[in-house]
Amino acid sequence: MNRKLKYYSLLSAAISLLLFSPALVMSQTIIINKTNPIEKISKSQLRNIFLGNNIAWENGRRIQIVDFVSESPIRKQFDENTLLLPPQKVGMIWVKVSLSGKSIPPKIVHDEEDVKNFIGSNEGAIGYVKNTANLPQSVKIIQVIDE
Amino acid sequence: MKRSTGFDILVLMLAVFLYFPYSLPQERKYELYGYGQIDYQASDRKNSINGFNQRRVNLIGEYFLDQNIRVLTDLEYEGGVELNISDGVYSGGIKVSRMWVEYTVSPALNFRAGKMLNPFGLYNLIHDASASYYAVDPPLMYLRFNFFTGVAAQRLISKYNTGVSVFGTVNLNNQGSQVEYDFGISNGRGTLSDGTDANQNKAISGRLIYRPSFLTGLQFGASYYTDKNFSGIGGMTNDNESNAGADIQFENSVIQLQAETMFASFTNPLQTRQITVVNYVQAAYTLWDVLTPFVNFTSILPGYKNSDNAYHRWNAGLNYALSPNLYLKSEIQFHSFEEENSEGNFTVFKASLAVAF
Repeated sequence: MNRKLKYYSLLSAAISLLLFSPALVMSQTIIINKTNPIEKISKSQLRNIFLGNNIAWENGRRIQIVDFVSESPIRKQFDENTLLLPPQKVGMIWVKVSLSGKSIPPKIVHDEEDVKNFIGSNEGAIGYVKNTANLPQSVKIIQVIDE
Repeated sequence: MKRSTGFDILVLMLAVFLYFPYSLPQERKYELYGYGQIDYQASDRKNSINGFNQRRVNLIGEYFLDQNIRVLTDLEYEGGVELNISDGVYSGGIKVSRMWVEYTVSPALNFRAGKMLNPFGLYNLIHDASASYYAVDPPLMYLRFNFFTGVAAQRLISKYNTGVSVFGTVNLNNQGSQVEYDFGISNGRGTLSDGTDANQNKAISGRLIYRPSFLTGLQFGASYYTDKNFSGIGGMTNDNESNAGADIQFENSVIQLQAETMFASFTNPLQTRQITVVNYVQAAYTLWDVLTPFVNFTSILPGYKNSDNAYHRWNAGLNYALSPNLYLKSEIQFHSFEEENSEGNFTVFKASLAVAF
């Protein structure tokens, strides 16, 4: 009986850990150019940036988003978990944002190395990766905080 | 020795040449993109011709002079443009749809100067960019109308402004609540198609958007525009005209709900002031991320206090996203007038292929 209880406690703890672990809530790491003074960002600010509602950083530097192709699993996960929209809808919103002249469309790339290189070369750039190994010197990780 | 030095320099130059083409494309200095639209229309309206139309193609260029200064050019080729000067044959049109320089001080403070779209309502900034909305055309309140016999068709608002504007976004809190503003002074409407002014009076435009944090995807908007219209809607020269609009939109992963209202004040041919009201509501629901049926109901009340000659349009359609940048659209429109008129009620079927590239 005690064993069973212990087993269920362990199982429920594991489930809780899985459900509430930051890894599931935010499985991607947000990265920006090292020259950008930002150290943390809220989820809703992140949403506003990736949906074209915020177009510049506080110093006036234009935000340049780098994103993955819409078929990419990492893109799908980011759009659905962070932007709360499917990639197709995000794509359509960006068509609207860019054609209205409000903001430049995201730079679309195929792999994480391209994301890191683009962010390293553009002062106003922001993107996300899963693998943070071998980050270039010109790129830094920022913390995502709950609003 | 001299030969060796020359060789070294050559190798160095080659290395620099090979290195820069690799590194430069990472830096964004210039972007070229655009949109196009091909339509098909069939109608039982009197004297209408059914057929295809290469409606437009717009080529947009963005140049980044530095991290804070951006230049945008938008060249529009309307219709299947053909200019054959030697034969004296012209069809379609080419115009500088937009050209502006933007300076960003901070997210809350940006300046723009040049020819730009009037920031009125939900649609005027994306007026012709059909790939960015579900229906074939933007809502009726943004299109030209023949309000009075013998007077050229006009829009209730100016589509373009040539002038200066200040705009920005203010984050009200960390929960995502925002206010966006856009105010401008421009030439207003005139007869000169190149955007130069036809009178001394200037137009004022303004728009405010509020996005609350309690419901992601919800926004409220209010717009205002006033000018001295050189060729007034009612045929008066230099008519004082103004528009006030309010809009609401909610959008999530599957639903898009929109409603707008516009009050337009101008002088009619009887030389009395008239307020025309245009309203619409639109609902769209996306299935399987790509297929979006939508319905739209629009009403136009030419006289605010007198609903005679009211006009209604029901519109039902289907938008299929072949990719995030390519849309196949079809819709059927039922146009009806409350009063008898020479046109009578009619139905229009429209299909369109809209692309953003």
